[in-house]
Amino acid sequence: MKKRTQWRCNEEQANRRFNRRLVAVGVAMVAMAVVIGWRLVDLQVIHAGQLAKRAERQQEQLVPVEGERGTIYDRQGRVLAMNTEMPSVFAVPTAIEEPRLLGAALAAVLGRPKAEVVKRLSTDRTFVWLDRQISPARARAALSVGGEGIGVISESHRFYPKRSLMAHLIGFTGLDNDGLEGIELRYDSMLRGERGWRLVERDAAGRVVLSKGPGTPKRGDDLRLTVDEVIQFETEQALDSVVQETQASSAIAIMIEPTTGAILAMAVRPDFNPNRLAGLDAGQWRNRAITDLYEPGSTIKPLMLAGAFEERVVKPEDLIDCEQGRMMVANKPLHDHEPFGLLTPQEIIQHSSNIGAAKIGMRLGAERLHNWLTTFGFGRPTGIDLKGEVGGLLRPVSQWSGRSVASHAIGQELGVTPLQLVTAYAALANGGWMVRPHLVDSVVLPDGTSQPVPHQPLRRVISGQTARRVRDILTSVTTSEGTGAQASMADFQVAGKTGTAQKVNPETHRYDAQAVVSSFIGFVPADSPRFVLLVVVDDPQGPGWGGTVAAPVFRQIATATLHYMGVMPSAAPPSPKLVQFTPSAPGIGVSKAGPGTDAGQTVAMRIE
Amino acid sequence: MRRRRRRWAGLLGRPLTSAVKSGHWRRRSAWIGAGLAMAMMVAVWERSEVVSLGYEVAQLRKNLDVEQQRHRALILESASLASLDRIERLASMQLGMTAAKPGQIQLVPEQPDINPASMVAAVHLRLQVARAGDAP
Repeated sequence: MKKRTQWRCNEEQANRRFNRRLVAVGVAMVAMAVVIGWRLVDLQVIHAGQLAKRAERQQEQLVPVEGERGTIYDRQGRVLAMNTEMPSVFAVPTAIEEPRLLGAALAAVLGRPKAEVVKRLSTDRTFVWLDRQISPARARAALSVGGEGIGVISESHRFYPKRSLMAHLIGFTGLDNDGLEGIELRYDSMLRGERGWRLVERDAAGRVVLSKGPGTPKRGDDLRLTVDEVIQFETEQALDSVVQETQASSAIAIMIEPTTGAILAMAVRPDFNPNRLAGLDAGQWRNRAITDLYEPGSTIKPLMLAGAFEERVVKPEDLIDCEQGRMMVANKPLHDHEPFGLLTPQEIIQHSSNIGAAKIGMRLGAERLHNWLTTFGFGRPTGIDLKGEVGGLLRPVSQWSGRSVASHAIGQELGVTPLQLVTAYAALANGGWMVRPHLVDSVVLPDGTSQPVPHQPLRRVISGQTARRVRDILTSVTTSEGTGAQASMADFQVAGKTGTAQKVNPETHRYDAQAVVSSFIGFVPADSPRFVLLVVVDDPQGPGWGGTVAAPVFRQIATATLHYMGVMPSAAPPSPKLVQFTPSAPGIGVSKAGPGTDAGQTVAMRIE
Repeated sequence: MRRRRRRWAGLLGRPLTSAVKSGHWRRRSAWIGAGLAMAMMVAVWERSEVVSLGYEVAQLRKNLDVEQQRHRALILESASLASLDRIERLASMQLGMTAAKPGQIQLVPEQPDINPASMVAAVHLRLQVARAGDAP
């Protein structure tokens, strides 16, 4: 009984103890619940706004997304410039313990100077570039060497699959995809597109959970050029050959469609590879076709003659005394390359007589000659869609000397760009209209629609009759008797003009007897020209006549281009007939009476 | 106090004391709790689904970027391989080809009216005539 009573007593005590513990646990849980509840209220109510903002900052990130740069195509749709992703290596210097050791290893892998890499790794910045837009293999090697403080991210990189082809024309971009030269610079705003923004939500591991686009990036427009890769290639090859053969310091060739002004080819030597710009200087990537001036020499004569025809100061049947190759102008002699007597305007152009051209220029006079040179676009930029074009050098008449009329008439005392000259000749080829040279044929928008760039002829500068007359005269230059015989083609009639301009010696400020600029400009087929082509070879070694240096290059390029275009050979060119012409009275049709031009004397005259 | 109790009872449909005593309150509480739990589960499921789809979208976007990049790389490689200096180098150095000289290229005028079928028939006819001529 006593035992039973004691057991009950123990049981009650145990129950009480259990109850106390239960109460204690309950109180603790309630306390914890209160604490948790309070914390919840603190997080969800009191500091809700502040914490939500902090979470957004940590989890959400507004990431800029660059609009992809547009692609550049040639006129047939071949890719000339396009963007691709390339790895760039960066470092977090604050996370690197041994910058010297790591710098040495990375310098070896990246192929960069050790001192430079170590210096970059030794800063207290949180981000530095080590090398940008490198090959994937090199980036992988850098990662394997680098460890935690080194990272690789992809960057958009401009790539030119045709390497040096059209390099001067297309130009190039910088590391940040900004256009720096050529088409890339001129059309940078259209090509680069627009930057967009993407709101990226990340999880604790940094993975992207959600990606919302508050501002979609806009892809840049594509450009379709007027230039043809095949024609450009043929042109560049021909220039390479002539530069190699003659050891010329530079060479330029421009081909233009005379009716539209579309540039079909524009080649400059020396060239460069826009994919590898390191170590190049501006002289190599300068587009000499629009930036460099040269004296056009005899190639200016047909333009001056066209002006003289328009002003009616010269007629095709006129005979002009070329003074047997020597004439004094402003007390200084003016020479021809060989003595000529009486020549018609056609023969003056055919034989490239300086004295004959000077006399035609004198008939025009300073004002009208200056006006005609201005009308043909000299002295101001052509307006081609490239930056950096210069306007040339055409001094006002007030600054001309007593010899300037003669000098300008034979292409001296003025500086022109190759593009200006080829644009002026386009007017002779197309019947008298000045056109604006251009490189972009159409713009292709991101949605695929193509917007052609309208190009209309600018203005009529000479009549169709004058253009035909000069064109016919120019065909005689490429006959066997003309200075441009080596530009003639078996299947096509070529109209053109040679030019051999002496260069001014920068030390003596006088014309150098040895240094010349040889050129040939012409169009083919002469009766319905498909293109105007200018070839300029600067300072060729050896005999540097335009007819022997530049004319064969013209023929080579023109032949390949006509074949490529599928132009069928025209009918055989009519051979010029020689007839006898007897002036009926002294001075008729003769600019200045001279030996052999008196009445009753017979001279040979070319009749087309 | 009594008024409040009556209000609660009114809300629950029966006097509170009797509702509690009868177990009806417990059942209703269970239903409400289950409903709340269900709503919470739906909310959690929805969030989880959003996150899961977010991962999927991010992965697809990444795949798209990779494929687009590959496409661009292939276009560039194609353009690079088709560059004329490379083709000319291969033609001259590996295949022994030379550039056509003047006069070696003959252009044939286009004749769009010619029916290819009639050309084939003409060739067959010519062959038959030739064979007939060869026959003894």
